[in-house]
Amino acid sequence: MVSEILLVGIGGFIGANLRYLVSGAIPRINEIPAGTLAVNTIGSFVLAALTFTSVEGTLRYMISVGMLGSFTTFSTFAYESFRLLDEGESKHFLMNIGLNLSSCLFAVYLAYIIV
Amino acid sequence: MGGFFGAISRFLIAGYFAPESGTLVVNVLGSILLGILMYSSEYLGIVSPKTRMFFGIGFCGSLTTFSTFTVQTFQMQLVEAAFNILANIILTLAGIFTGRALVIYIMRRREGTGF
Repeated sequence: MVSEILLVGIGGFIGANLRYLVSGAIPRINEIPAGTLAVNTIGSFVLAALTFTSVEGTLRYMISVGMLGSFTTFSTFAYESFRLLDEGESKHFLMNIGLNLSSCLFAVYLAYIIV
Repeated sequence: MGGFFGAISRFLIAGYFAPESGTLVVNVLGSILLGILMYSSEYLGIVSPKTRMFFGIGFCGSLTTFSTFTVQTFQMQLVEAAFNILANIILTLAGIFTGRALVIYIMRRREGTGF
């Protein structure tokens, strides 16, 4: 149990740093926070690919739960969406939610047919 | 470093629930915390950039997850999936709103008592 927790933590450390680097490198595109969209899509694709190949054990805790779980984020997505709504950008607010959902679900679907 | 603790907290908290509700719980919890943090930083100016990075990007970002959410949604029946999407989006937005409301409440109380 302790070693599982440690593996999740180490993966989380790596995932969060990678997210910071990747999403920081991508600017907002037309009001849409594209950095968050990118990490969520990439992370969903890789997690789906690993899930459908059913990886077990050490790799699962560190990479699937820890790293990929932390590479993607729901809180920043919710915060950025909320800000758009708050600033009266309802069109971009809906676009941001729609884009994140469709692109992440499509990424999972893509992984599903490839794997 | 926030990512290390965020991922472990997600693993432990979500582990208490059924997989799908566990993801919802950590996503909402992380959004409330991020809301408190970001609006404390904006309205009260008491949060240093370093703290914001540790808790916001690291901890809250890793406590919540988009990849697990999409993979779980993908594996659901249509009605269940739609319900899961709505629940996650509405409740995390409400979480950010709650975080902001709490900060505003604290701010008013402070002003009221002449702090």
